[in-house]
Amino acid sequence: MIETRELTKRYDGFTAVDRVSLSVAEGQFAVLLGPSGSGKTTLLRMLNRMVEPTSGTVLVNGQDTAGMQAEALRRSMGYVIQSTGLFPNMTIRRNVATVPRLLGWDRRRTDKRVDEMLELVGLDAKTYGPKRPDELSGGEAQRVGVARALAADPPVLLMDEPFGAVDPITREHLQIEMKRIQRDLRKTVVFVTHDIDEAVLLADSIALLRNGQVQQSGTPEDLWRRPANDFVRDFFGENLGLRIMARHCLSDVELDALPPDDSWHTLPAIVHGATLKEALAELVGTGAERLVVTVDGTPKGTADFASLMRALSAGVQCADGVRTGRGRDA
Amino acid sequence: MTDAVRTHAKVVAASGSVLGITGAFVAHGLIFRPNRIVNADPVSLWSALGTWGWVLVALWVAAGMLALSPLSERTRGVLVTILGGAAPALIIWRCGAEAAAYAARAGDVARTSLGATVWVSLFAGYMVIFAATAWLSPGPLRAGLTYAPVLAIAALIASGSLGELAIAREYANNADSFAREFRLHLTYVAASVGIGLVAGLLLGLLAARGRSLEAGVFGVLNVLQVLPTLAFIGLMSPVLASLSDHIALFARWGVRGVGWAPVIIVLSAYAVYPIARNTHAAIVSLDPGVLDAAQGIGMGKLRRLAEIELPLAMPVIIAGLRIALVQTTAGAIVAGLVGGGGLGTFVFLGAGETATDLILLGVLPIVALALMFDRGVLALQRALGDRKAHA
Repeated sequence: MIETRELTKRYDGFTAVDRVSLSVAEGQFAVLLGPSGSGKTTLLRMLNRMVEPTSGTVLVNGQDTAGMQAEALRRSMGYVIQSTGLFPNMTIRRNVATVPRLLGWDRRRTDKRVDEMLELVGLDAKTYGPKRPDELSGGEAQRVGVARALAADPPVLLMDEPFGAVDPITREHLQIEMKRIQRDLRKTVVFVTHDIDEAVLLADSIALLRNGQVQQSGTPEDLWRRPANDFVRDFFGENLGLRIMARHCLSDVELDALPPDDSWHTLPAIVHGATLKEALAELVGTGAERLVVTVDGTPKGTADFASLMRALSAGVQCADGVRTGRGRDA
Repeated sequence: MTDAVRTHAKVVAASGSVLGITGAFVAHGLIFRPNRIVNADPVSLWSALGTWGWVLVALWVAAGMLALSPLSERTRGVLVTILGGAAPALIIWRCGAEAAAYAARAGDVARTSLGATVWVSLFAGYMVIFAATAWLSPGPLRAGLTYAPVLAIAALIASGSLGELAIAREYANNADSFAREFRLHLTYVAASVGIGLVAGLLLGLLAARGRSLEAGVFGVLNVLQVLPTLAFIGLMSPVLASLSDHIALFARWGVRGVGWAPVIIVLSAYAVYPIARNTHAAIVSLDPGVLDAAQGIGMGKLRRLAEIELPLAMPVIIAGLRIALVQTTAGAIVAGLVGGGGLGTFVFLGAGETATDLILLGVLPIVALALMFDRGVLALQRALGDRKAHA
């Protein structure tokens, strides 16, 4: 879908991005991760030609973007930034309608689309549509930013630290919703962040940058189990394993059958939407050897430490919308 | 309105009232002269207006005392605004009546001129009203009270009861040329501010594109701004004269070293500056995130300018337009000096004849126009600001 080849950006004597070759498959959530000054934002901005590369190429669906009209290219890629960049002189509706308007959609189609987009990001179109950006909270403004980026249904979404400026609780909500939206709409997302938790939570693949160079790219599990160098290992630190476990859910675990006798009644119960991290905490916390996994209150089977580990190495991830973020069954 | 402003308003209103009382007693209120040229000693308003002189002093005293009183802000604001407007209106009304009485006694060539303390009293009234309205919330009541004295004086002028004042006699003698020069003055203002607006917008946008362009644009504009008007016209005069000698079209348009052409060029050059400055300042202070997003979602340059940059910069640009309008309205007086006509004609004619009232015939409409433009554009600016805040 998107591929960079030897992509380089130099500013008088300083190399911001250094021969980066990456590819992002269609429908993938790709995260560009790195400390500040690592060149991740410059790399992102070369994808929609907000920054023109010094050398190297960007291919979108195999086509060199250098030959495309920059405005047309940008309209085919949603763009979300940390400061939201909502137009303060326009209503929320008009903000969201911007790209459809640029593309010359008729009024009815645009209106309908704006309603859908606001609904998609969890804002009531009637309440929020007529408001101005300065009447919104940071989280709401960022939702509108996402709605505006998605309005013309672009196959690609570029996001530059979109949730960096909102409070931690709102940020987590936005992250989970972003993941849902990306899966539902099967968008290809390139997402810049310096936040390791955010990267590990959202990414199908991570490219870790430092001084404009890609240190390693792959799934979070790859980077955890097979770090390419010390920088990668040190950057993620010792908590990466737990962070990875938070990506996986019990719904991905092959459960052992419930024992025929009633012995499992004494085991702690946990919902199948819980993450492996929560399950592990439950095992350690209760001192039990096994957990009973329930779906909608009905026991489905049991899981022990070994089955958790098997699920983790299989590299699968929570199915859509299953993750609850809460461990114990009610 | 902060508390400090409300407290300071007491001081300003009381000062205005003291100024008004002083103005009533200083012997420069009315000048009764047997004819247009003879000089005579001015008398104070208090002594000229008889019993009404006492009423005038009473109005000023009441305004000052109420301003300092512990009444509720609203009551205080209403009463003091009324008193601050009533005093100047009373002065104008009674001066007209005294002028009529003097004309009846001394004959048709007699003149009654308004002296310096009349204008001082008008200013004192302005001070009192300006301060007292700080205690009132915006709305029809405040606007009505503020502009009531203006309407009252306009009604007095319209009713003809001021007709025997010297300035009105000057107007009557020059009614035809007054209308012509007034229109010409307005034309100068409209043309120069029009040109200044277009050029100022373009130069302001140009300057906003980079540091070196900014230095270039404002380097030139700063020089134009500090060049004295007459020196400017003097420098251009030979250039325009020679242009007109060599190019038939210019000659046919009446371009000469003096007259309308240098006036419009000079006034436009002065009008450019505040508009260019404000445009530049507004554009460079726009939120970079907004501009980045506009570019990033695929808006072209012109669209960004028309839909984002100019609308966001508009309130500041309009503030520049306001300065340009007021400044040009006053500046256009110079046309009277270089054969361009306009209200300046009366100013320089009167100065030549030492006929103060003829000078005032030129100056008063200019002051009125300048105030009108100032208030009008300010209202527009506020309306735009409100729309942005609430719509």
